[in-house]
Amino acid sequence: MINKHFRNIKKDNNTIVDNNSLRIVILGCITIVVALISMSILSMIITSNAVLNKLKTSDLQNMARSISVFVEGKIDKALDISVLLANDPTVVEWIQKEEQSRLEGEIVQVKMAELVNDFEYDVCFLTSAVTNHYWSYSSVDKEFVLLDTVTQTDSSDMWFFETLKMKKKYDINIDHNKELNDTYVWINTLVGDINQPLAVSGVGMNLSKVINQLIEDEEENEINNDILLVDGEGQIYLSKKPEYLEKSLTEYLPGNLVQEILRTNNLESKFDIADYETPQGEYFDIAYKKIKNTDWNLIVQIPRADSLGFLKAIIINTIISCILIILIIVLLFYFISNKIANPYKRALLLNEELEEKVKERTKELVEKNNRIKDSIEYAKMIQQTILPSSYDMGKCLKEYFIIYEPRDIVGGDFYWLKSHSKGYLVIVGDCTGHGVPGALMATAVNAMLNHVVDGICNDNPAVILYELDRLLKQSFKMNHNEKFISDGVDLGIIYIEEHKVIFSGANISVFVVDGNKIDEIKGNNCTIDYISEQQDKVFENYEIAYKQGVTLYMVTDGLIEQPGGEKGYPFGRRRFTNLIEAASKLEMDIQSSYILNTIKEYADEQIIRDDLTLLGFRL
Amino acid sequence: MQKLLIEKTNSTPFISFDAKARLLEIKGESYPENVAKFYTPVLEWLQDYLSNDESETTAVEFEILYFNSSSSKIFMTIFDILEQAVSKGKKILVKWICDEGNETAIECGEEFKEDLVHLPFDIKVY
Repeated sequence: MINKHFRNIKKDNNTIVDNNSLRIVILGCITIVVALISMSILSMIITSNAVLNKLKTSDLQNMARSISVFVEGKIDKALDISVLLANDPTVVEWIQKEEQSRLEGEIVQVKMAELVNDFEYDVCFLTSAVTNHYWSYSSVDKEFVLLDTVTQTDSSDMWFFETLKMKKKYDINIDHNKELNDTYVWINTLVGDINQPLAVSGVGMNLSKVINQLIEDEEENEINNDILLVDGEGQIYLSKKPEYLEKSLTEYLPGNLVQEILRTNNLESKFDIADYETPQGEYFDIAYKKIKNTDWNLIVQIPRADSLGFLKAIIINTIISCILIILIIVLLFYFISNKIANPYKRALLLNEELEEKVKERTKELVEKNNRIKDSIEYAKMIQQTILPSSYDMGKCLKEYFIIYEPRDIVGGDFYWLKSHSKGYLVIVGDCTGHGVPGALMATAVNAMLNHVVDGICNDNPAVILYELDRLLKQSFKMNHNEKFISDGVDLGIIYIEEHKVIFSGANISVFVVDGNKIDEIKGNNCTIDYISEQQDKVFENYEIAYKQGVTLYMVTDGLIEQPGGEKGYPFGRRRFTNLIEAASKLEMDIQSSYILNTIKEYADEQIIRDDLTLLGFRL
Repeated sequence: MQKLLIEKTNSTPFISFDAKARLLEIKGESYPENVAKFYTPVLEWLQDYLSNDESETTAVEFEILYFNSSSSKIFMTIFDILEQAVSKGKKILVKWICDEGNETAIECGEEFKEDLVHLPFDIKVY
């Protein structure tokens, strides 16, 4: 049974250990995952904000500016060259001479050819307001030719006559050539006085080619931005995306942003920055500005997903490291908890061993205890033989009951009865101590009582007490080693003869119940012992009036002083007197159980402290 | 003189005999299996203590809920020893402390008091 129980406990313990380690692992993992995820999210937000901020304030600006510097630089250079050409005295002279001077004509031709070939312009032209001749040198033909003679009636020549009237040194035009599907920058410069120009000269530069060159450079760098060239009306003429070409900006960008772009008149080198969301939910960051001296717009836009693209790599790396860390932690926790669990297991094994030892010891103790118990049980039989038999009791006492409960099988309490021809003696005694020492005393006292009653006195309780005290001192004092200890006996003796009842007590009283009246006759307040220095011990006889139906009770202190109740105080003499009074109204044979039950109920969980003896009998 | 201190058990009282404080306390229940063994050191200490020259008053406090008759005899022995000391000029005051609900303890205190002649013996009921 014990073994089974123990095994159950062991099983439970193991489960507890396992549950705990699993719980620790799960808890630990959850904590780490939560910490990692929240840290990652936080750092992602911070990083993306910082990247976006940098993109808007710095990266996009720089990128756009480098593009514009490149484009505008080309245009500026073309402008410088155009102005140089227009201011060339040879050119002026050649035009003034109506292109008749052959030498000057050759110089002009060489210069224009040099410009086209050296600076990679597409066209260099010179149109005279004197002859209306349109001279041209193109990178395609590589030849200085008189291409046309402009006339006011030809609408395609209108640009020439309007340029003559523009009253400023130069004008920059960008236009889209549908046939060539290219966008050109035209620098028109007035030759001579701007109020009375001699001719219009300039260069034409393929802007598409310039920008495409930029785009190619950037493609090599894997930059996924787009450079748009947009005219004053919002028409797109250049883009990486073919579907954008010759479409209106409004088809792709939000209307208010387009208006903002077209309205902007930003002459500084700095770009305006904005962002927008496409209907597909894609974000774009956009930088825009007017090309210097034109109403065309240069727009650089970059998908935000691209600029934040590297964050994806961070996310993926974070997830991977998260998984790795969790894996490591799980293994680590498993290892640690196993190491932690081991001492438990060892403790359980140790416990098992100890339990075995305890069982062995317990067995030994049980055996020893049984031997002692057997021995005491045997002693009890002996003690029983010195107690009066119920036959003898019944012969002398008409109605009686006896409570006799030694605390430890045998005890120091005893009762005694002897009858002779004239009357009989009833005695209740309580030797100090209980158990085996009490029983030894009781046996000795019994023998002495027999000696006194048989040899000295059998009808005077006080004399019997006195003689017993003397005898006890004689018998015990000689071998007495203990300085302080005095064993002894409390006794109550009743002698009954015809219609005479005499009581004498040493620390034991008799309760006399006559109808509703209860009297306690206390014996003398001195005990019978073998060391007491008290020389003036006086035992007195008390005569109790004989009356039929009167009940007498003699009790040892075990019943009166049994602790119990709420505070663990002794039952007490007053309460006991009341109990006797109540019991006396009952039949003799149920009084004992009534009294004993009352006391034991009062004792409740308190252990019984002393031997319990009560003799009650009716006259 | 070394203090005598015995912890309380179910069947033996708490004992604290403090020579410096001149306070001897016995509190609890007393029904040891071997009264002699338990109380011999107590009594020896007491005799030792009383053999010293000491003019100041010694307070002895008993607060016993329950005691068996063997213990009762030992208590009487203690009181006898104290009584002898008082008659030799020592100043000793015994306080027998008990709860008013503990009738037996009060009665026993009264019985002890009756037997004593010189030893001041106060019964304090609370």
